[in-house]
Amino acid sequence: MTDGGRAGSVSLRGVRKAFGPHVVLAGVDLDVPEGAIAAVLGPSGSGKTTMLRVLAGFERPDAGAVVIGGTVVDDGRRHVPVEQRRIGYVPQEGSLFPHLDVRGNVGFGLARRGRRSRVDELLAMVGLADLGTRYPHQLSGGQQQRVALARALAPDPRLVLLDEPFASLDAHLRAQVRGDVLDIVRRAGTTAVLVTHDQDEALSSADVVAVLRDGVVAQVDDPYQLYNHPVDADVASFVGEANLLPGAARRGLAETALGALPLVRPAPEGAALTVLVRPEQLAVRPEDGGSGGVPATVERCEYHGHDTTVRLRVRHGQPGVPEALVARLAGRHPVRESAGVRLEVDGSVEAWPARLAAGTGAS
Amino acid sequence: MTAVSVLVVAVLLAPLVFLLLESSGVGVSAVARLVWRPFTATLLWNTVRLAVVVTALCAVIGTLAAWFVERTDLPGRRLWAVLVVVPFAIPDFVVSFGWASLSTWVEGFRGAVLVMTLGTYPLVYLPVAAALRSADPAMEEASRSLGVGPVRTFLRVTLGQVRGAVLGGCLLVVLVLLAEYGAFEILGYQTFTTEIFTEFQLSFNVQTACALSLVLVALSVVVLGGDAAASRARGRVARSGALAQRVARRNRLGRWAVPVVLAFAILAGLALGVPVAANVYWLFEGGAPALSGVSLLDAGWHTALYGGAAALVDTVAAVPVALLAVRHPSALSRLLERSTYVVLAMPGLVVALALTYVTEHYGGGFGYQTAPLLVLAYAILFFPLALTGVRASLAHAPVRYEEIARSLGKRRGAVLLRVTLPMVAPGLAAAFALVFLSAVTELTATLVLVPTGVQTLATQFWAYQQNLSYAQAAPFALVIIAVACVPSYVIARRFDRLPSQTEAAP
Repeated sequence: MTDGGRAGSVSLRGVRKAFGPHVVLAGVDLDVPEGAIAAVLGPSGSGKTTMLRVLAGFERPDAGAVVIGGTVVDDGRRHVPVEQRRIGYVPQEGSLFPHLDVRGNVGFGLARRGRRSRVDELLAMVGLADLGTRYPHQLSGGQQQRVALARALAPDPRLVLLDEPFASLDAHLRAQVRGDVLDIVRRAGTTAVLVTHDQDEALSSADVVAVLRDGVVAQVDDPYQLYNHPVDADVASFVGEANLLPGAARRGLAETALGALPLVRPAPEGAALTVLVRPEQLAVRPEDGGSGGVPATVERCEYHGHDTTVRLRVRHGQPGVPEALVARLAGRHPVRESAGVRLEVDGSVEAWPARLAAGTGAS
Repeated sequence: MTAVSVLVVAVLLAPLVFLLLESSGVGVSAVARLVWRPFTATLLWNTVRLAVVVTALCAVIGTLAAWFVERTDLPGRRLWAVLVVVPFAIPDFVVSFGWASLSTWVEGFRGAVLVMTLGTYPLVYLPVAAALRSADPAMEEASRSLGVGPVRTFLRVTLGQVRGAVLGGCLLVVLVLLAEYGAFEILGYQTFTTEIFTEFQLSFNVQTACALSLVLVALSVVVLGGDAAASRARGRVARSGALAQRVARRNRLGRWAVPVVLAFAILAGLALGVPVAANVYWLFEGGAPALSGVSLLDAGWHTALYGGAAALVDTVAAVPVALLAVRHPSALSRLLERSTYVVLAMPGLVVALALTYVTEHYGGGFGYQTAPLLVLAYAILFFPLALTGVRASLAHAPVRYEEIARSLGKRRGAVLLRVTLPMVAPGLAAAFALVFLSAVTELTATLVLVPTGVQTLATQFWAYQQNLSYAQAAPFALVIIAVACVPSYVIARRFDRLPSQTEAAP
């Protein structure tokens, strides 16, 4: 489809891919609306890069269909080759052509006509207008990443694929470059798929986050839904820190070691539950600050400046209560190690039917 | 790609197969009778004692030279780094001609020792210098801090770090000694190779030549096996931790600077100065430049033609084998890549003999002493050089660049032209140049296979030299030296920049 449309929706239907006996994608379904930035989040080895390569057309799926902008680009019978898919691809290390300067790289995918003005436009867009004659080895990591993005956007693709593009940058640069790059993608109005193993990156930068696990999509949601209403305990632990408590449904509440907590979704009376309490939901009060709450001891404080992560141990532990809990205290909250505190849970909690021998404890 | 690679490897190994066929046609007992002559023992003794003495000298000279260049504040070390490598590029038959034409003292065993040591010590120098650069100086510092002096540190620590490199270099020296013909012929020293040549060219005794070739190949295979073992040892010994790589502190020569510089000057003078000076001397001594002017041009043209054709064939043929090895590693691709190195155990004369045998037996003499057969011989002999160069350049052009180019809307053909070729071009050019220059300086196979009525630089030089027409031979030798020195200079300079510049200690 060469309608010149600015963006295209993406959908994968039952995409399977195996390398020899090793099944990497076991039926992936995913929809990304036109113009959205989607993050594909997964631990290493979950198949996220393979999924991106199938979308790009570098790999052919064993089964399933790939649709970009309403056009079927692969369904087992027809296969639109990479160069006809109108995609932009930004790989991990930028991978700028070492034998071409910045202008040569950005203009690589453009026809001779109008190339000069389009390259100028893109270099201005990524803020590198005066570095056009530099060679890749003369650029910093962040600059290389921005040139790689300009190169990918130059032919006006319907879809931009970003394969962990910020992973190789220094920590202090990463947030900055990520913000810049995704701003540019948004301004370009292109649909984008970003592969990452960093849940902060996925939550903070994408409109839609898909969690890939064992070759299938475990959940697709916007960042808020994903963090607060994960579909199961594993997803909950993967997208952030989670206290997972055993509990039981009683009169619309979840009875746990931290008290009877209101449920987000009603559960059948008497059902055994695994209850999610995010660290931010744990309110920590000094022990002498009145009654109520569950007594606990501070084991360790990790001071981050903007907040403090506190590892706690519940005293008089009842059976089944996790040994250690994690709380996150905002602001200047002086908590001393080995101090006694009282814990309470803020707000309602997400819970799932407990699996047999389900793992409990903070993870 | 796999099919093409299999074909390339089959062609490379064909001479060895035909050699075995021919020998087996003669029968095991006949071969044994030919091989177990008392004369064979003489040849073996000549070959072995030369190998032992030359290798020992090369090990000492090459290692010391490398240590002085890499680890001391030797005055003019950049210049010496080039001058000590260049002699390797000059063909040994040119060096021995230079020496033998000046003095009758240079002949026989002592002449062979002198000429071959001067011609091959760079084979030890180069790997040892590389090992010294990558070896961790912290070990030497630790030794010094434990109260061990500089000389004993060199003996106990530094030598230990580079012994794999020394061994590897020595084995290459032995391979060269086994294959050499021209230099020994000039010096009147008999080895297996000279005897094979005599049997074949003068007595037309193909069977004896083939049987003796088998012994030669067997010796070379043993040496190659030793080299493989040595390179594994190198991996163990020279592991230095890329993290903590620091620049080595240079030892100060102090009052030793003058004698060491003098020694380097003598080495360069003997290895480089004498052969060049001798040829220049004969050039002005004899005259008759007009006569050789025409034949020089003609021989130069044919040399360039055959060398260029062989270089082109090798560069093109190496691409699929290297692609398979780099992009699709598997047991098969590794086997194919490794088996091409068996060619290293085949001296030029043996390859030429095998090809002659093929044309005689299967082609009724068709193709013998024609240009395509000579080009094929060159292509087989120097294929490992091309493969090394092409493989290294492909490793610098990972497949992801091609993927990006295609994602930007370029078709495969355009990707090849605009991305892959520009990235691998320097490596391809280096491979081409290495094969071309090796072919230009090849003598032995050329003497057997050169097309009837045609002369190359090497064969014309050889003809004049055998007629004792030194004045006419000299210009050919000088052109060969000039052609050969360019790439070795480039290689030495490139080598000099890698991996880090060491600075003199304050």
